[in-house]
Amino acid sequence: MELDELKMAWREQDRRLERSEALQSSLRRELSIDRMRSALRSWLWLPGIELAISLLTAWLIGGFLADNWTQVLSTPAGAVPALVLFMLAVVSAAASARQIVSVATVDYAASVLSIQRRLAMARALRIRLTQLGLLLWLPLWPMFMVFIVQYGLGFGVYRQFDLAWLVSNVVLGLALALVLVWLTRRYGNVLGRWRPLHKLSDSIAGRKLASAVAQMDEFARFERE
Amino acid sequence: MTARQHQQRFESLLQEHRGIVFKMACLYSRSATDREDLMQEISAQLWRSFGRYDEARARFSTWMYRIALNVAISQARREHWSEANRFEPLATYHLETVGGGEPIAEQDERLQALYAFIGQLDPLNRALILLYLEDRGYAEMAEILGISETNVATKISRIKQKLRGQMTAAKTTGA
Repeated sequence: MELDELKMAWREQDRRLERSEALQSSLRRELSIDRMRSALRSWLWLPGIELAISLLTAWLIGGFLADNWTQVLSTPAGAVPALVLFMLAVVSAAASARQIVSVATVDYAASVLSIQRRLAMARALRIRLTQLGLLLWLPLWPMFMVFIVQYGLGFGVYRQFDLAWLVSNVVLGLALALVLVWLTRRYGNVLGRWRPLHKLSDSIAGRKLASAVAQMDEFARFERE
Repeated sequence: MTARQHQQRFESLLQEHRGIVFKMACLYSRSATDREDLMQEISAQLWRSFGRYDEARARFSTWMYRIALNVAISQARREHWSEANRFEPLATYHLETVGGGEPIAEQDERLQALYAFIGQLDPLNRALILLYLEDRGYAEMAEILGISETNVATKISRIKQKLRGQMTAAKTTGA
């Protein structure tokens, strides 16, 4: 059987599909403008929420820093957690906005290879940011805790735990992050058996990123060969 | 053109070419639910891009193939392409009932073989074979995919060889 012979079977299928009343009415329903509008809305809300959370965090911490500027100037070391968290929120908002713009401005009418390459790059960026976000939580949680307890609840926790305590916790967090990467790489198969951990483990270990990079290699091969 | 006329024009063009959306959704999804989701995704993207469509630059069908393929390949990659069972043949569900109605038609042996074969291809080669089956010329295929005409010809020739090899092997083993 040759490909040209199979093409005849394909044409025959086309004729059958054209005649099928069930298919035609199903297509009319699926391709209605109302359904398209709802599909577009679902595409927009998720990245929008991410951006909103980052902006809200930046606004809250920024507002706090502005209101307590004299206190910050008198004990600059005490403001380290708030400043770090503020900068992270700003960077996170910028990254979310960049992703939204990047995906929103994709012209799907451009050639398949160029769009797939662009989408794979956007996916790789998102995976990288997720991996970074998950790992940064470990060294940064003491700063978050200090900020909440000291400025949110009003306890002078920073006087009890000074800069040395903060730095040592950050270093410990970094070490834990490295151990976590090693564990997820070494025991990824075991962790992957438990479904809720599967994606998390793949993100931390960098397997998702490797898969996105492999996709980009596949596109390059398709173009070259 | 008013917004209403713009929408009517789009709906009319989409109705005229709805078979493209359906066939694309069949080739890049696994179940009837997946297929419906993909059809909606493709249509939503077509509607979103329609404002920028310029008929002086491309035929509607060419424009539609590009968008539909881009959406279908992206969705396939996002959802299940990386999983181990990515090469599952597509034939089993393709011509099942549509919208809860009667089965469309019985599949013939050639069509089953075709879907089993397409099911083995990666998303980009799947796009290539779809365009070939849809009788698109090499120049148009190259334009849609973003590769050279020579590259298209080479790939089609390789796919034909692969198919021939499989058919020969099937005859030899009596499968």
